[in-house]
Amino acid sequence: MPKPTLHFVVTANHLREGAVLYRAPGPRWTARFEEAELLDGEAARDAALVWARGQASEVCGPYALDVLVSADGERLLSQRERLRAAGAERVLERLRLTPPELAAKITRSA
Amino acid sequence: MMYRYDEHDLRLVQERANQFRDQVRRRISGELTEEEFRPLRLQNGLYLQLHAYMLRIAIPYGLLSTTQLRRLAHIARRYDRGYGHFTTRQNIQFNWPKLEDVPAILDELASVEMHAIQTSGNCVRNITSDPFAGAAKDELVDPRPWCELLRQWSTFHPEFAFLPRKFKIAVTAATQDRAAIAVHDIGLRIVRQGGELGFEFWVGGGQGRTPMLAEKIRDFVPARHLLSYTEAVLRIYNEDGRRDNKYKARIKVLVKETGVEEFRRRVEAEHERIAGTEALRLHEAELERIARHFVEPPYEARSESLEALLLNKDRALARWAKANVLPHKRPGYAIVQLSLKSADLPPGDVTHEQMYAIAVLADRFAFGHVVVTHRQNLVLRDVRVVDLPALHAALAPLGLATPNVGRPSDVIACPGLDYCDLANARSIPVAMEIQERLLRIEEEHEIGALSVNVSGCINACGHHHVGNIGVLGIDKQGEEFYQVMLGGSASETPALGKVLGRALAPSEVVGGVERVVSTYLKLRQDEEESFLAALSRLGPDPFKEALYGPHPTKASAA
Amino acid sequence: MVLIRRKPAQPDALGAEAFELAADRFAHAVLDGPLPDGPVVVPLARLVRDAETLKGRELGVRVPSDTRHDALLPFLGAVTRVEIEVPKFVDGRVYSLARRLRDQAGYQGELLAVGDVLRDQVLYYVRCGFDGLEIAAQKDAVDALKALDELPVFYQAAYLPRLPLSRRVSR
Repeated sequence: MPKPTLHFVVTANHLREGAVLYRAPGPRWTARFEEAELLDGEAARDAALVWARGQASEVCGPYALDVLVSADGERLLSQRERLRAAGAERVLERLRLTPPELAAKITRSA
Repeated sequence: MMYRYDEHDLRLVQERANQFRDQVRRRISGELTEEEFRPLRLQNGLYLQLHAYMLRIAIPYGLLSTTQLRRLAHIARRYDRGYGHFTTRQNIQFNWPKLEDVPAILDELASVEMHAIQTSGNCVRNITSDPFAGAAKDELVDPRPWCELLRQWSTFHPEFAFLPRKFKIAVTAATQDRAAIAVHDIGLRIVRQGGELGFEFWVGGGQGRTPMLAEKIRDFVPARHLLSYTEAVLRIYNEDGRRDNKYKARIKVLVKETGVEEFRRRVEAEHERIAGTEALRLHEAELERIARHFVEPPYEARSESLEALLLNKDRALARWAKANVLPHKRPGYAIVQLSLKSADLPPGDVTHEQMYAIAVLADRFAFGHVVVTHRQNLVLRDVRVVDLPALHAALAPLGLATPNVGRPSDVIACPGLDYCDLANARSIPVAMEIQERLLRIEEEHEIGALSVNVSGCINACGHHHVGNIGVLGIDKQGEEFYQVMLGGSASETPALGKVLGRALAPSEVVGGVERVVSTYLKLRQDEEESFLAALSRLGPDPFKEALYGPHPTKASAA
Repeated sequence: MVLIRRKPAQPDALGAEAFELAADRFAHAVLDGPLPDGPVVVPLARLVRDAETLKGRELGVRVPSDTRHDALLPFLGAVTRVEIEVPKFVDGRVYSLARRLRDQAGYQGELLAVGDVLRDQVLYYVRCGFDGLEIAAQKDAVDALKALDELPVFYQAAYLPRLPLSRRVSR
């Protein structure tokens, strides 16, 4: 059974809006982790980071994260990066912060 | 009833907002690099977190007017995702602001006498205090004028803008310490000695990686020396505090490594030098000017007591009154706590609809003011006893009347890995699941005070060291695990919790904490014996056993 | 290096009006090696070692941020300028050192902040007793002058202003 392989993905936050971004082939920035480019080796990672830091007018806080790719191609992330990749909507869903529902509840009972 | 800005206070926050607007412009245009901009945005309480920016807004000693609360609701709706989070330091956080909107948000805040100054960075942070200040029966004097004095003294203090690390000050004036002074960098208790007002001065408390309880540096600092003594402590810390290691940079480490005696000697020597100066001597007229803002509300002469309500036929009302309502120093009045722990929402989170509704209720029932507590609840401080049924009827459909303040299900939690860049584990889901379990237990049993505190990393923003039951999320090989400790207390008999044993998986810890509470119920001598007392009497073993579940090789005792 | 420094006729004033850009008339020497003629700043270690031979010269001394003020006391009479190094702007010890030199030691000569001196800390430096700053580039220096006029409300006493707000204005 082949071992999972280690790759890197470069990520940052949108400077003006704060949203999570990943470096995709191009290179360009994407909000979707699935579109992020998997980089092989530290040289590629470091070059991508240099590129990302040069994008300071678009993004802030760039860094590289580890991605393990399993034998069947699944991208495995640390818990932190998993949560980050799942995105803002998932956070709000999971934590039940769905204001329209609660608002409806409050207005109904008022 | 609360401090109101004069033209100087207002000018300061307006200019600050202008300054930040320009700093944002320069960052977006590229004139400022990220490295140059980062400390500037931190000085305005703007963090970059996992998913977005986070803005921490200062609520001095937790006190809000309804005007301010309405503006926070507006900001939540217009610039954020419709809700805000009240923190364990009496501040509010918004989790989704856009950088380009923050200047507008700061302008909005300035127009209602609010700001985000010094809510981050290695400087003096929000001065916190007793949420019942002004209304508490056991209060010597109102601590808030002193908090306001300290707030102004510390705001943009040029010498202490780059301390070794952050600095937190708390002030109490009551016999029961509701400000947790024992775990602050400076903790002050207002006392009277020979007819003179002054401060018991504690230094070096703190949680985080190396939790410590504060040491008393002086039994009595006369009021006229409050600022000079505080400045002496800050100067010694600024000069001698460690700057080589972020985890050893708080004043608690300096006090410990120097030794209390030597630390005290340095402070006293410096204080000797500066105490008499006009620059630092208490300006009586200024204190009076500030204190005049904190007049009592126009109380009516009333005499109704809470007792009758506790026996009310409406069981929900009675339960709520028993848990969430406290006697007031003034007959006919009560202190009402709004529980933000319904388990409908994360602990401490309030939607903008709720904020607007609370403002309406505060105007109607509480002289237009609301206070944030360290346990992420809100207080309506001066409510007539006769109004309690109507208030309860209004709060219940808002989800703000869960009868659990101070009870086990009043779980506090930091934002954790759902939001926070520093976290190792999620805290909110665990807290909410624990809450649900404990709410059910509370339906069936009378349980008094028991604090459950959950943090998502060692920075301890969930104050897990001083919870009766503390839960700390850790990262074990990329997975979330939870350590449980028992016996902490943030009261006037402070204590740091002791870890029970190995860390647990999320599913295990929820059931484990539930079993710890059930075990307490089973083993307590009577309803009067608190969890801490039972723990002290029985030792940790029965609770440890309960936490980890039945041991497979041990024969069951019962 | 450009200096921002206080205009001679404005000893206690805050605000951009009281400051100007200036060329630095001091040369800088290192620990060992030749000393140029004219006014010169030497590192503290050199001043300590060569105090006798340096007598009579127009001298400045450059000190690291972790210097204790009492280590400087014996030498303050020999210098007309003290330069405090700011290795990283987060090293806030320089503010307390400046205040002690002014308020405790009574030092009245030039006091400069050199190193990682950023525009947005300019007001803090000046309020703690610095009357000069060394800024890396001209454009930054002009900008830093402007920074002296931002946030014009000072609650607490420092080196400047000497009194808290409540004692300076009626509130």
